[in-house]
Amino acid sequence: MMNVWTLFIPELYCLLMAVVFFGLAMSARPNPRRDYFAALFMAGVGVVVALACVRLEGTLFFEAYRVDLFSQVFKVMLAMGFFLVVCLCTELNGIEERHHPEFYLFLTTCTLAMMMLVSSVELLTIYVALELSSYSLYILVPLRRGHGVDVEAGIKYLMVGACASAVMLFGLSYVFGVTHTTYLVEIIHVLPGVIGTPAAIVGLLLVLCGFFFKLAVFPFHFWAPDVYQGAANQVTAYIATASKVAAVAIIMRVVALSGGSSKYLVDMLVTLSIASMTLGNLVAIVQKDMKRLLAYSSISHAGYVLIGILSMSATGYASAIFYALAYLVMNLCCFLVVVKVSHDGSDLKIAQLAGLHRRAPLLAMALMLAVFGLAGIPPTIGFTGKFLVFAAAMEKGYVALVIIAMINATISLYYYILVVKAAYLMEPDEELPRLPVSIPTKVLTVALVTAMVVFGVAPSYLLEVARAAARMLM
Amino acid sequence: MQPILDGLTLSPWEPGLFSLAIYGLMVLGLVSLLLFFASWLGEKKSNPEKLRPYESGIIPTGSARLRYPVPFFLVAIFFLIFDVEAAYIFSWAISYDSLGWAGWLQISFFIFVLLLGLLYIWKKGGLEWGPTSKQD
Amino acid sequence: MTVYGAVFYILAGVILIATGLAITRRNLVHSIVYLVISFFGSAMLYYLFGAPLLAALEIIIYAGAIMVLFLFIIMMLRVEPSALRKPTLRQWLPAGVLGLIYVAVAILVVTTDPGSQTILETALARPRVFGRFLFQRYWLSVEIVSFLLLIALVGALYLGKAFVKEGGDQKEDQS
Repeated sequence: MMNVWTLFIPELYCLLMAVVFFGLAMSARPNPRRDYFAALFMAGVGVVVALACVRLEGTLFFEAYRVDLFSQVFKVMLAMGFFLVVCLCTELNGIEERHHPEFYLFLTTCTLAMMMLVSSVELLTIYVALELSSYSLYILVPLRRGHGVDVEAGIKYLMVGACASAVMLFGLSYVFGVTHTTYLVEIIHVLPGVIGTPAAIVGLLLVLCGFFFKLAVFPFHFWAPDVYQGAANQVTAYIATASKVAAVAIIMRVVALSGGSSKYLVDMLVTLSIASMTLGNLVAIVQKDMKRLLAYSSISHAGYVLIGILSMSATGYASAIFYALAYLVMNLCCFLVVVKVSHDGSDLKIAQLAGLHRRAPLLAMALMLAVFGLAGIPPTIGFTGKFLVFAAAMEKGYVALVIIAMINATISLYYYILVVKAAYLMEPDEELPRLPVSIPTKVLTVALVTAMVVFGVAPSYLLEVARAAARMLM
Repeated sequence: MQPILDGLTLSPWEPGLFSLAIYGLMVLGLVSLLLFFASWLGEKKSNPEKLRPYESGIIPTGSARLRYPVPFFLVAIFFLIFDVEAAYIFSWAISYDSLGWAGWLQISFFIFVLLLGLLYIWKKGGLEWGPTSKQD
Repeated sequence: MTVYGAVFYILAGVILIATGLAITRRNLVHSIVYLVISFFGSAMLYYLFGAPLLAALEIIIYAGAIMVLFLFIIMMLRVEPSALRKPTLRQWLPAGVLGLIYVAVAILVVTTDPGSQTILETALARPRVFGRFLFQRYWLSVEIVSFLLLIALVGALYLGKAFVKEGGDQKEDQS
């Protein structure tokens, strides 16, 4: 029995964190410093715990829950994402002080839910875990101080999310009807045999819709710009990084169910991928608000990740895992700059970046590298990620898709360079004071930048891990 | 394709299930019969005095469509959430003996988490009613 | 057609009509009454399919709690029937087209599936057995649900309180 619970340690640790924040939420007097340091410490330990558990393997809860390298790698990413987002919370001005413990509580439950999501191999568990993470986010979005846009964003998120889960439940019922089981282990044996029947393919697609909502893939992307803009900066950072990573993981699990033999599914994914990339990139060009721009950029990146997934080969899945990690790091770096530059917690216009290279050279440099990474310029991790994804698709012979993706990457370069131009070449209308950048922030920035460059140049170790993790899916 | 017969979950269907449906139909029939007689045999003369809503003998003023205060709505949500909780507890309660201590622990944890929730809304004033909630 | 089949089609008809009426009524309270009828119909359907516990829960939760919540929202927002605009052609045409596609796909799914011709044996999930199954096989999900409900409680309180402060102008809530 003890053995079983060791497998569950990262989740149990998250549960413990949730309990602590719940206790803090119950205390009468708000104390942001205490909350922040508690969160920082516990999230830091969380990363260590997740790393320590990376080699565990086994199944629990009547085979509903599988701990393997695939799930553990994603748990490490989630723990890291959570920790880094907490690092950004030094000045949590976007949220009222008395709600800080709740803010951390929801972040923790969301992380917990997503950890369970990446480990679940049973449809019902997947569904409830997904709902738990969505509910936490539904509440985090309108938690922002001051009302107006955020209420609209919250409602929109909730509505689109509710529709997506309804569609997904419907799909689950089809999948269950076709395969007579909710366990992925059994589905993976049955489904490839019946994937030609309309019920199976419709069911699988509808299930994917629920996850596409989380990833903001084309038909379910409506919420992204408004939610990114409407939520507090830290919350947006979390939605843009950790929740995307979890979505990539679960989409891979579900797509792997098809066994790679369905042409319909591939066609559908190709269409969605192209639509997401193109739409995201084209609309991003006209954005004035930094967070909206990042939202559209995230829609297009969802398209790139799908390329890796739809290759449905071990290389494809490995490249998607690597891309998810790269995206996590680059996006967090962008949001680090967003949070630090608008330290009063307001939305950041791109024009407000003007003169950043003089106000905070380090941040400007980090922003430039992160944005170049998102655009896919070497030697950053973003280039390596894109390269791997495209290579996996080429291996399968999707030449047209890769060409379209490359054209898209070129388009995206335009608006990414606009951001860099704002930070480096434009001068602010009035002279602004230097931005105070604390030592921990400097350390964090340098660490992120180093990670981006080092893993961009020498990705072999991470790639090995991603390959080993992807093998678990096949 | 085969029906999902697990042995563990499903037992043969039996028509005894229909007893509730028949009972329901009987109730429906009786109620409609009573309503029909009431409208058929009753007097059908109406005047404004008769049609006015009865409010303990006081003549009503204003519209009946008042906006409900929010606390009512909050209570409705809390009721819904605890109702869903009750559904799980029912499922446990009808088979508590065969589930044994493991089941007891599971449902205890479940109830404990929901108790925490109750404690939270209590402490944060979600159950406050009337003037106190307005001061907040 | 067996009695079983006849009852099924009657119930299905009732559900369809009631739901259709629910989404077309101008008066929101009337819609809710029709929706309650539709839920009762679904509950009977579950009963017929041999899931009595599910039928009871459908009535307790859907026809009971959720409908009460809907009524409260309607009373709280106090939308006059005249304030609701009729949906224009541009609004309902895409919805209609999508709905038609959906019906077509569903027919395709049902008719082409090799299993659709099989007559399934009727079976019954006894509440006792259901409970045992749920708590033995799916207890992790049950515990996750408890967290889900906790989050929902905390969130409902927060949003509801914000609503009080706002004076209840523009916001709806989740369930």
